Amino acid sequence: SNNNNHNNNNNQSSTRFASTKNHSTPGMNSLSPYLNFDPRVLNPRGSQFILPEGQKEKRGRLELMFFTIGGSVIAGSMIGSVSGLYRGMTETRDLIGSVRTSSIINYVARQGATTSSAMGSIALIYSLIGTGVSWIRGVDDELNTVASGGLTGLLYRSTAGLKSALRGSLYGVAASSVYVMLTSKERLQTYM
Amino acid sequence: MDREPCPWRIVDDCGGAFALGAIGGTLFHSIKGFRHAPSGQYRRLLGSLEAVKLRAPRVGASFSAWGCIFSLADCSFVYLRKKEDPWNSIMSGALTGAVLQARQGPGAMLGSAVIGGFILAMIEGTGILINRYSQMLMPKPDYEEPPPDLNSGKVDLSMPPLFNSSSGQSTSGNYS
Repeated sequence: SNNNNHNNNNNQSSTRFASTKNHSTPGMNSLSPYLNFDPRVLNPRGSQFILPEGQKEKRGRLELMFFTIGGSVIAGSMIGSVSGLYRGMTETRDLIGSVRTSSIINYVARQGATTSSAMGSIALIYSLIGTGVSWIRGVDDELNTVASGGLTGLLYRSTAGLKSALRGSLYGVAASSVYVMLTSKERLQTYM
Repeated sequence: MDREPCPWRIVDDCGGAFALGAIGGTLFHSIKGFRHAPSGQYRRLLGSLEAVKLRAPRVGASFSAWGCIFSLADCSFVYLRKKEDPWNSIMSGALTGAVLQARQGPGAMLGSAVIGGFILAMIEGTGILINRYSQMLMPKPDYEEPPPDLNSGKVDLSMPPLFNSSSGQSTSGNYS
């Protein structure tokens, strides 16, 4: 009967404090008396990452610049190499042996180098203009991305005439708007 | 040093080398195009602009190829040897020089590998010397820390004799 009383007491305590059995309430822990504090004091700002002192939470444009440029160079070289391979295979159909191999390599290398340098210089101009725009405006948001995309297109085609420059800036605005839509959907919900 | 971990370091180095080559090539070829253009300020400016548009991306592309292959070789050596060394950089420089001259035949590859390894050895050696001499020349702190007090924080636990000391009874006063 002692055991039964003990069990009854346990059942009573578990029904009175049923919430602590299923999920913990802050300030009360049945495991250890040393855990009786509110864990919310440990992370007052609610951030999910640990940052060293003085570092901002988002990386600046200048730090992202090398990654952007490197990614465009590598992507451009892959696209150019594949396109050069396709063109080389179709245009050297009447050659055989090592002459054909050598000329296909020439096509691949030339197209790969051209496309990679073009995409790399677009990325470089975009990063520099983006850094300048965000430095002038003082704040860094998606409008900077779209504006610098437009200005990059304008500058890149500026030596080919006004109409071509405006078309280039339109392509730039379109490309950066697509990028902004894909990556920052939740921040734009307020405007939609 | 806050460099990225190894797979992303390759993209970073490629982009850094391209930026270096493109900006350096812009400055160099703008001056060269300015000087080689026919006389007249407007034509000289146009000439420098044309030279920049034509030549600077090529310089950037060759720099970025060098940087990408160097970083790829460096990360591969770190992964294979499982340690970070100056020897990794030297071997990567040699391998990069060799790969970039691969179409010219084995003799050119060997010569380019020797040059690349030599340049990287110079760079790494300078880095090591700078590290060593900057440690020697660092100012010593002008205060010495006080010798640690081994008795700080201790509490005197000696108890006064609770009982009259008589033989046959253990005295607590013996504990100090």
